[in-house]
Parts: sequence; structure tokens; C-alpha cells
Amino acid sequence: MAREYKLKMHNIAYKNLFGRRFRAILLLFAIMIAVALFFGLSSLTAGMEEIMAEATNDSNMKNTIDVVDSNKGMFYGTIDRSVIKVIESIPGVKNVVPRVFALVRLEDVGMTTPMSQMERTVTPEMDMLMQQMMGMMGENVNTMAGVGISDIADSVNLIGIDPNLEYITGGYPSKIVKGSIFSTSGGAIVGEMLAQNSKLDVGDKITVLCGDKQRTFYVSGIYSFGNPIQDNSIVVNIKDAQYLKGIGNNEVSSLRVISEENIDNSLISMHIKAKLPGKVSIIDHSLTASVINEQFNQFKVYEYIVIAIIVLASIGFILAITMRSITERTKEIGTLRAIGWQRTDVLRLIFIESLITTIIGSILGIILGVLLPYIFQAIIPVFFPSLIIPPMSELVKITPFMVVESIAIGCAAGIIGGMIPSIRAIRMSPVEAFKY
Amino acid sequence: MIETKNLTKIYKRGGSEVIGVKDINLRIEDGEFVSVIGPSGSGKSTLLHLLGGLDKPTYGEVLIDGENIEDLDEEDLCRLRRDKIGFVFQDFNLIPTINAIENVVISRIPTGVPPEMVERGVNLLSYFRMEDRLDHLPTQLSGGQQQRVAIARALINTPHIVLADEPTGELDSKSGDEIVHLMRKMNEMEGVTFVIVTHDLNVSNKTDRVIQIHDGEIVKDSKK
Repeated sequence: MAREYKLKMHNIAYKNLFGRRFRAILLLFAIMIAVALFFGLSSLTAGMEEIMAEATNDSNMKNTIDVVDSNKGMFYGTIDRSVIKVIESIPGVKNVVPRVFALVRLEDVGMTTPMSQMERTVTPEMDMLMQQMMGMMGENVNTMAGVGISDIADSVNLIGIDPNLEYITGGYPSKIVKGSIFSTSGGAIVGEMLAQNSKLDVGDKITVLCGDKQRTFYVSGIYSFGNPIQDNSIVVNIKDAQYLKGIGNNEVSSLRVISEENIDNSLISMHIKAKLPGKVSIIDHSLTASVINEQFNQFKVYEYIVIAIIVLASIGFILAITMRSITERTKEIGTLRAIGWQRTDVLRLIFIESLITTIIGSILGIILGVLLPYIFQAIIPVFFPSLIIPPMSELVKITPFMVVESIAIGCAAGIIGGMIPSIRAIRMSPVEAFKY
Repeated sequence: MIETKNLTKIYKRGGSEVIGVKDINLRIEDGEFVSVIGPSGSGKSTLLHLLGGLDKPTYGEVLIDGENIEDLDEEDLCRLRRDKIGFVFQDFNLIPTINAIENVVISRIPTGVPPEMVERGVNLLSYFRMEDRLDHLPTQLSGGQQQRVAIARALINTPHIVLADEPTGELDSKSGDEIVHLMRKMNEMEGVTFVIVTHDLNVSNKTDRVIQIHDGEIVKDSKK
């Protein structure tokens, strides 16, 4: 029986690639790196964008302001509940939600959170900034003797809430990922990052220490907020928080003021300051959100520039490889043309070769791109031990469009890189090509 | 049949003009076994390239079976080269990444290789005592074997004419003799016209007609 031979164009393309495997692997590698960098950066940006969107666009940021004690701030100051009625009387105010904040320690729970790691790197200036970041927006921060980074370094943020009021206003918890919210005193929900880092799960018991007071809670659920500070916190009933903090039933740490839609936060702030002169400070979240968005948009511009440089550099590198490869094959192309191949036939062969390389390179690039942030996460601490890197699982977001986009960029780079030198080669007469 | 009328090729190199071939009037009948001889740079290869439509003349005409190849567009010229003309090159010009049989049928790959063509390829290689080398890559073959593959490639489409440019130039005398012998056999068996460019008198002595060229002009055209 006559033997079957594989004599299709794509068979020849495979053989050409296999026969020139060093160049093919080099090209594959260039495409893989380009796609991996593009994909890795895109997934990181998309993930960060989502976190920013969650943090800035939900009800915690939009149309909300926090009112805190002007002297000692959110963590160390208190506001009397009677202020609620004063604020509720301001036109445009929809809800006023009391909360209690405290920095606490967890007994027998290992802390590997970013907050505890910060202790090693923080300067006095950063200490001050941290305090402000943590919401200690008192006008007299310097007077808070002993309240520094060393105090908060191994602490977690305890938030005392009224679950019913929070439910009505869409506040805490924004998303329960496991279990459910506590209904009574003695229950706690734990932020996802704290739960992961401290290996806490639904049903566990935790003892919370605050000064000389302590209370044991059962973990009823795990929540996710989308930002590291809130996801590193523990949420309990407001009464439990008041007990731990050692404040009275009528005292709270902050009042979250939610305004009606289309009401300017600055107007509400002005009214509050006028009604409570010198007593309170205002944290305007819409302002914070716009600053964050502005900063993030700036970051995105830099990211797009980096992506553009990567893609252009990759195309350049791919072109350099294919130019050399095609130059070496110019005589071969001339021979094919001499024995009857049309120009389009030669281009078709090179297109198939480029397509095979770019598809494989792009797929490998996407796999590497998925792993890249995790690889960086593992490597960076070796070189920069003091750098704090949040878990990549929370930062990276992969979408089907991103996969398509990365394959398209890989294919475009590979095919353009392959076709440009080929077009030059097929334009030569066979006699010219034989001279190579 | 190949015919040329006042065939002239002038190259421009820098500011000066170099004559490749000049006023060549030639007629090669079907089934002839012809050699073109002359010193290096005399225009032998230029003439061969012009006859095969690989290069365009500055003046004059090349007619293949009465058809002026100047009138053909790029696509038709490719088709003419594939169907009517076979080429054999001095350094074989085989595709290094594919095996012997694939090299033989390579001209038909873009349009699809019919089974009878594969059979012809296998038969040609078998006739050239290459039946056990079908799957070998060019690098796994000797010079003589590679040139046999190149001749099989030139003959695969049952062309009217085979144009061979120094086909024995890279071979030892024994392999060279074998190649000329094979070409002669195919000329006799299939009636293919062979035009062999050579500077080896041993090769030209085996042909029926010797065209001697010097400075781009035919100085002698002798038939045995």
C-alpha cells in the first residue's frame, strides 16, 4: 500500500518551525514575555481599578461624611449621641449612623498583617500620616502622647456597629463572604484579610483585648470590603465595642452622616460645623474618593505608557528576530518563487508559521501573566524585605476580554513582525534572492 | 521550443552599465540536450535566468512554445515556471527543513499535491536510486544525492524544459557524471529539453549541442 505523506501548507510550516527551532523558540519567548507583561499589568490594573471602584463608589464613600471628635479623632475621641439629633435636623441629611472605633489586640492570634509589618519601616513623619490615614483626624494629633505607630502596629481595627441601622443604610458589612452577621451581642464578623492572615474561620472564638478590658466573641461571619484597612478589621455590636473601649452607652467614636442624593457634602459639613463649633472634625469621603480616583487615573496613564513601551519594544525585538530569520531564508524564498510559488503562497506559509508561533507564545504568555504577580510577590520580599505587598489574589482581576486582548496583541506583534520582512523578501526577483 | 529574439540584458552598477547578454538570437527545439559554455562572467547564467523568466530582459524577447513571456503577468509567469520549466541549481537550493519527497513535490504544495504526483515523485527518486532516502532531510544526503532530489523536483511537473545552472559545479567528477547521465536518461525517456550551463568541458562533451558564449554574445553554436 502506498505511503501517506502530509503535504499540506501547514505541515510544511510545522516542519519549518521545527527545523529552525532555535529561532522559533526565541520568537516564542519574545511573544510570551510581551504577552505576559501585558497580561500581568492589565490584570493588576483591572484588579486595582475594581478595588478603587468598590472603595470609592459604594455607599461608604458617596454622599457620606464622618463626624469625629475634633480633639482626639476617631480612635481616641468620643462624641455624645445627643449630637445625632442636631445633625439629623440639618436639611439634606438622610441618616446618621453611630459607630465605635478602637484599636485592639487579639489574644493567641498570630498577626501577619501589613499593619504589624509597618512597624519596621515607619518614620515619625509616616507615623503622623498613618494616624491621619487611620482616621485620627483630630486637630491636635501631637497632644496624643503615646499614640503612635507602635500602638497600632500589632493592633486590629475594631468597629462597633448597630447592625440594623447599618443594614438600612447599606454600611457594614458590604459583602458577607462566609457565614452571616451576628444578631446579638457576643458575635463578631471578621474582615477577609484578617481571617486569612490569622487563620480565623466561622465558628471560631476570639478574645479581644483593649486596655485592661477583654471580651470573647464567636465568629459568625467573614466579610469583604475591598480595601486592606477595612478587611483587616473586626466588626462587633456597638455595645460590645463601647464596653471594650470603656466608654458610656451614650458615647460613640464617629457619626456617619449620609446625605440625600445630589446634596453637596460641603454644604452639610458647613452646617455641622456651624451647629457644633469647635467640637467636631469632618471627614468628607466624596473628597477622598475624588482624590483617590484622580491619583488612580494618573497611575493608569503611567501604566498605559509602560504597556505601550513593552508592546513596542516587543514588536521591535520580534522584528529583529524575524528580519534575521527571513534574511537567512531569502534564498529559499527565491527558490520557491523560481519553481512556481506565487508571492501570496510564500506569504501564506510565513503567515501560518507566525500564527502558530504567536498563538503558542500568547497562550504561554497568558499562563505566565497569571503567575507573574504571584512570582513577583514571592521574589520582591527577598530583595526588599521591608516592602509591604498586599495579597495578589485580591489585587489581580482577570476577564475574558483581557485574554482576547492579550492574544490579539501577541498575534499582532508576531504576525506584523513576521510579515514585514517577508513582504520585503517576496518583492525581490528570484535572481536577486539567490544572491543571499 | 525556446526562442530568443535580440535578447539583451544590461545591468546598471553604480553609474556604469554592464552588459549581461547582447543580441542573443537562439532557437532550441523540443527534446534537445544543450549545453551553454563560457568563462566566468560571460553571461551564461544571465541567459539561463532570462530563458526561465527569472529575470526580465532590457531588450528583446523570450518565447516559450511561441508565447512571449514578457506578455505574462506575475501570476502567469509563476504558473509557466511551475508547469513548463524545471530549474536545477549549482548548490541544489533544497529546502533544508523538509525531506526529499517533500522537496520534490514542493512546487505543488500551495495548490495541493495530487496522489499521482506523489507517486511520480517516489518513482523519480526510485529511478535515481533514492528509494531509501525519501524521508531524509537534505543535510542527511550527499551532494550527489541532493542534486538528484533537485533534478526530481525539476521534473515533477513533467516540464517541457529543464534549465540547469552548473548542476555539477559542487560535485566530484563521479557524482557529476552520474548527474549528467541521469539528465541524459530523462531527456531520452521523457523528451524533456535540457539546457545546461557549465564551464566543465566534460559535461558539455556529453551534450548534443554546445553554445559557446563570450562577453554576453554567442560566439559558437555547434551541433554534434
